[in-house]
Amino acid sequence: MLMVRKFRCAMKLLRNVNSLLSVSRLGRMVNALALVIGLDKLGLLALLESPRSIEEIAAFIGDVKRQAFLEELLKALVNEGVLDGSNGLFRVNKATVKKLYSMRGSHPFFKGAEYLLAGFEEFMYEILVEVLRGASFDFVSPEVATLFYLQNSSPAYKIGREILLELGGGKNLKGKCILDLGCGFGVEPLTILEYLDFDCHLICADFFSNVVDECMHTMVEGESTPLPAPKPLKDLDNVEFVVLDPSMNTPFPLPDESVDSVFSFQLLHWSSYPQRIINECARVLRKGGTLMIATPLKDDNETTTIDVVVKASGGNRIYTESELSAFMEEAGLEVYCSFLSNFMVARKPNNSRK
Amino acid sequence: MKLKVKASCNVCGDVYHEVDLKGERLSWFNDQLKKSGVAPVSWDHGDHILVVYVDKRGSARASYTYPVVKTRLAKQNWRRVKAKALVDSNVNMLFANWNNKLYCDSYWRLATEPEEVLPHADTARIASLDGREFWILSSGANRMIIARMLGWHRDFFQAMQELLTQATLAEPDIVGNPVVQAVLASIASTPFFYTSNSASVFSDLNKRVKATRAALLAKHSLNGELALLIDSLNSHDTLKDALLSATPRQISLLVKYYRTLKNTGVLKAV
Repeated sequence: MLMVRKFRCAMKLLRNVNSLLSVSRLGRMVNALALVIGLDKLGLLALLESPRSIEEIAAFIGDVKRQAFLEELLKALVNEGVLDGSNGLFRVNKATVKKLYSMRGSHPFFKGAEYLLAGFEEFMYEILVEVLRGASFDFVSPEVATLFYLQNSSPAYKIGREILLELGGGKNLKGKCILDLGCGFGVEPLTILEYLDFDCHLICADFFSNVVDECMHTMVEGESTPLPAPKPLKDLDNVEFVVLDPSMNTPFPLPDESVDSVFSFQLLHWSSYPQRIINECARVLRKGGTLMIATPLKDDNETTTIDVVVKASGGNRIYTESELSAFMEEAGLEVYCSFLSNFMVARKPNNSRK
Repeated sequence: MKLKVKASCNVCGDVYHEVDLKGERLSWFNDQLKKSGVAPVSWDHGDHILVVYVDKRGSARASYTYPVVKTRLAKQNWRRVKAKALVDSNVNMLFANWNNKLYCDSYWRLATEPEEVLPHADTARIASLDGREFWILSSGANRMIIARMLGWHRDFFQAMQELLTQATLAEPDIVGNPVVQAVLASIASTPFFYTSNSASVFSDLNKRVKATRAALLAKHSLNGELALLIDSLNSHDTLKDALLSATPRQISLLVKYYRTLKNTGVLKAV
């Protein structure tokens, strides 16, 4: 059964993304290009046409207080081939930069991340400098919120969400109670509802009231809905909303074993409390229920360009597959599917005591 | 396009109607069908109006009725308040205070005298006078009377009612506030822009509303006219001042997206 699901997902991805095996790598490349755009705006790429030491780079930026973060940034770019780094000197690899820029206009994966790239063109380069100079940047800042409001509606994200639903039970999720953890501004609940033909009870949860407010007022319209006229999500009988504590000091406001599935798409790497979040998911899941998570996963503990972009945007970091598995096991969940370095599904055992 | 519709009227029972949609009405009907899969058509049943939502096959998916008053009522002792129309709206509207019997007709160009319509305004309803339909919307003491235009459907009646309710939270006496009137008149000029995003526009009118640097990214996906208005916000002391320099279409667009723009942080009221 699992193989059939995986095959369906893979076929879908092949149709839509063109490349099955390189999704994780493409993610790193897109984030590398975002950083390249930022460095270019700051004049750093021109500086790095000649080999430069980290001290010279820090002096160029000025007032750098987070030396370790600058080191991570440079190392991640070296790992992606954007910079050549040897003998403590960094130099831009123009061929890689040219290749990345050319992919922006031609590759569907890059097109799907256009808002991220445009964000680095418009203001994220300034934020990168602010973070290097010691600012603590919040991932619900206007800039990041707007970027992800726009990014979340891209077709690539829709495909990703549908893959996660396929892995988590597909159409068998119809009629179930699903917690949409990190529902965002509203596109995600719509995708879930449309995928399940509006046949489910959906609890939309996010950590910030402005996000939930926007989600509540997202209009449901179009031929796929069973509604006689457009309505906001808040007016649907089978949809409810909760605001969660971002510090995770307070449990989710849901009873134990009250939902059949938890759906969490591109959320975990933003929070500093991944274990607490997964523990809470396990608590609210019914026995036999599934936790579906999509988050970028890396092979080892090396810092990637995705880590750097997430940190610069006020998020936490990305995890390795084994780290995420360990979070699940610690919460008493059994991982039964891991896919494309992005998706993981776990089940709460029927004999669970947690 | 001829449409044959069998529907249920909650006053008359099962009914069968034909309608011939042409020109602007047909174009609007098709637009609604494309947007939401269904579109409304309405029939006058005398003392009530039947609205039926039909799908692309012409099948009725939902129906509603609402009462219509056609009788003339005795004139009451209303007093006119002079005010300037701050925007150029193509919709005929009256703003009134029922308790104080005051009204403002700066957006009214019809031959029908305001005093003919105002006595009907004790509650929200539809009045049919001189062959024209007037939508009477009510919230607190505030009344907004709009001469219905071609293509307007029941959802819009409800939307305008909701809008007036939100406006009343910030301005209990609409007659004395030409800026709130201008916002309402702008939205009525472009009714199909309306969504329920508008609640805090009215309470923010006297605040300084600033565009953050997130606007730099958002403007790529916003209507150009709205982007221009957002660009101008930082050079005005209050949102009210900015709106007074804007077109009705720009005001409507801002109202449509205001909640989203604030929720994402593109706009901040300070």
